[in-house]
Amino acid sequence: MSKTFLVLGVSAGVISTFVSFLFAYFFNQNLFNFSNVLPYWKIVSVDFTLALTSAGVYYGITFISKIYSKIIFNSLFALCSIVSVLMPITAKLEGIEFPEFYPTFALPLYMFFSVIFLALSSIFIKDEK
Amino acid sequence: MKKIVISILYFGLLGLSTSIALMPSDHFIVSEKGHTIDFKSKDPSGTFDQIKGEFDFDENNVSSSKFYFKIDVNSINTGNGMMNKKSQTEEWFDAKKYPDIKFKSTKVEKKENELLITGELTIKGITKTYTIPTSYSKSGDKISLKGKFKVNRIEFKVGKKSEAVPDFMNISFVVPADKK
Repeated sequence: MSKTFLVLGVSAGVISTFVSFLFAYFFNQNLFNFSNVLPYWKIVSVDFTLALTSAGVYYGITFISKIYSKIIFNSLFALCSIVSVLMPITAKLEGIEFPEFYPTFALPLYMFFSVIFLALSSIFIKDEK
Repeated sequence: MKKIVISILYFGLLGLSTSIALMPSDHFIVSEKGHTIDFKSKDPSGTFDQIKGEFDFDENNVSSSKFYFKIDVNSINTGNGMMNKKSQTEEWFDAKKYPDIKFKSTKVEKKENELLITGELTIKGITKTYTIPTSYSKSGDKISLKGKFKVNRIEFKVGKKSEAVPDFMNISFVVPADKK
């Protein structure tokens, strides 16, 4: 593991956690409270795990192929992001108030992480020419 | 050497965040089957067949627990079809306007082996504070709540005061739930 990828993972984790936490807090306070279904500590830990795993995978791909690492990783990352969107949509929540609004709450949380990670990776990881 | 330190740091952080992310929260969802909500009085008696709900329950920190239940008024079953229909009219539960009976906890205490769940009980749009003594039994990822309490139907404007139907209804419940 190189320092660049570790810093990328930690930075993406910190920033996406901060943004997601703020969003979840305001959503729970002002719209519908889903803090029982998705507590804050879960948002923080999942964001950090995703950021560190993504950084690790990116490092692994770069290790194998420096030239094509960006295109391979970005394609894989985009595919995973799209597939992950299905999770909150298909989630069956019984016995809570307004379950139909859960995707409205959960979907931006996935997007925040993806957008922040991709934005930071283009800053941290230089193109191989 | 530097790479080894960075790798250890990386896997340490990843292990920590993954173990927290995968940690089960003590969040329970009421099972679709196996629950009973009975009401008994001199006349009438019956059950509500449908309840939905969720709760956070930590045996070691009960004060942080939160309970939420919703009973479908239309699922009332008195064993008499005519009476079931009558109970949904405006005079009784007014099921069209108020399809659910709701309970939301505001305070949970532990007294010996029993929980005292205080919360807001809403029937027919009227909310009153009730404390419900509840016992529980846990087995793996399953929990069952059991309890009895009395409800004054007049407080909630469910029917009118009469000699035929007593004011107080004895409610008993068994609510199984699964950890999510």
